Amino acid sequence: MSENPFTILTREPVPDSRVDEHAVIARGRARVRRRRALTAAGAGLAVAVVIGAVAFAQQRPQPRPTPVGPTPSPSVSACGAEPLPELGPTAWVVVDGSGRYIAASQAAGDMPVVVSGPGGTHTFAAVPRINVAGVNGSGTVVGNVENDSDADGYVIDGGTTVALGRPKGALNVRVQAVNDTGDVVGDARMPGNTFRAVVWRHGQWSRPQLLPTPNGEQSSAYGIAADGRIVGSVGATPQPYLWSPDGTARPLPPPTGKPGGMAVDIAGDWAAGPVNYVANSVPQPNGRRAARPPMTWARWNLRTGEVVPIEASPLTVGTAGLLADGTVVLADTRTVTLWTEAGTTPVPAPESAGRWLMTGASERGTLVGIAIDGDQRAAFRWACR
Amino acid sequence: MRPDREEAFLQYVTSRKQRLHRVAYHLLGDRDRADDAVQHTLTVLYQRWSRMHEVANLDGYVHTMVVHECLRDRRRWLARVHLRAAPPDVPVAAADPEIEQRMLLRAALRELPDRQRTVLVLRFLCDLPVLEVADLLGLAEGTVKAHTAKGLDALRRRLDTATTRSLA
Repeated sequence: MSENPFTILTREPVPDSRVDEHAVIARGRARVRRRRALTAAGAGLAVAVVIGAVAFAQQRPQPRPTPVGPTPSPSVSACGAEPLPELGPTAWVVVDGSGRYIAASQAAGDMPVVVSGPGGTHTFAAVPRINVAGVNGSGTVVGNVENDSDADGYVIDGGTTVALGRPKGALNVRVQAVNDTGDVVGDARMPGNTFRAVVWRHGQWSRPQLLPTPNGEQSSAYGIAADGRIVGSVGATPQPYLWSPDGTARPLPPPTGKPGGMAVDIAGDWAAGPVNYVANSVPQPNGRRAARPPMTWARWNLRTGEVVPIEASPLTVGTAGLLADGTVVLADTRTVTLWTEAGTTPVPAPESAGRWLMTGASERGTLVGIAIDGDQRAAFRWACR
Repeated sequence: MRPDREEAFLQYVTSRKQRLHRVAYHLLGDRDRADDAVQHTLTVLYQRWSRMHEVANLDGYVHTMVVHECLRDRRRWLARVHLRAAPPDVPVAAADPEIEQRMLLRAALRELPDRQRTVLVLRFLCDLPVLEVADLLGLAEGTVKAHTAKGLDALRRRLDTATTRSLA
């Protein structure tokens, strides 16, 4: 070790601060106002107590106060939110393609995984802090445990939690999705900080297969359909990509004028994902690089090859899913919209939710997400079809 | 706050935020958490700004606030929910060949106890002398030196183990 053992870190490019000075001032003002209001309220309360005591002593008859009822809530549409209390405080929630199984990472304790389905609700805690990434129609769950460098992928299958095997030489693996056959996709971080798309066939958890790419280019897999088609990206300047179960593979061209991207969801004849995708120049601590805005989303018709850009909203976050009829669920932390070529339909927020986030969608239109109120996080379900 | 004071606050924050972010980033190893820690620190600073003329070493004071906020963040982190509301990230080869070594070192650093890690970061990454670190953390100089020696020793052992494991 050299004299300054951290020389290598001092050379590391530190990303720019994203703290906005004006936002700090706005928050500071709000806090000052709140503190003043609390002080005033405290004083007011004290005065009220004194006045109340005097009034009580005088025993004056008072008019009966008119009861104040709750403000009528806006009418709940057919796509209304239904709480899922059986999942407990929820950090993240996903749903299978049919909408029967819902899996959540709890936001308490060691963050056990809770799975709710036709057989009841079960909790899995053999490996703590698994962030669920997907669940299939048999209740098989996949997820990742984040570590200091990246993540380790796990599958919870038949009540057993198994660490997914790494391809030879890989430093770690991260899972993204599982289909109804039980096949799991994700990526492996290889030496030299390159990544390769991986599939684990059901039950062969220790034998990952690298998905073929032109010239062995790096790649990542994000979604897998019931029939085994896999979507993802290929290349350091990522291009959307589709692997078919017959062993063939092909790029999915992004819309004109919106180069680069990836396909992250697949359902029926459709795929969707971000395009106009430029990676940040500074990697995150895990060696990956996030996209830089402005990216947008696109939907591919896998049967006809048609690709349509989705310009429905100023997306900063992403999609929560794709339905089998081609409807795309557009989500950010404030709004959720169902997009089709015919137009958009807003999804109502859970009642009294401060912030909310749609985190998953089944092919048949069951959406799941979380409502955030301070430190409280609760799971919700929407039946939109 | 009076407009002139608010203007002074704005100028101060603009000129110092990247430096504070660097400290927080090295302590927490995460851009988002570093942003959170700096934002929280500066928001609290705004509330106290009218009294700041009484502080002899304002930079040192704010530096201490950020370090303490980062230590609090680390304790809170285990109970915090990870919101992954981010676009899917793309795996690309980093042009920087040192990235894996940095990851190993950062991972080893994060495994150290809070005090040792903080002392090492402040001394070697923020380049602060022992005396200043002692002042900042409210420790005796000897204690800072002891944390430094123990931290370096622990780090060396962890890195040796990690290297052996990766070669196995």
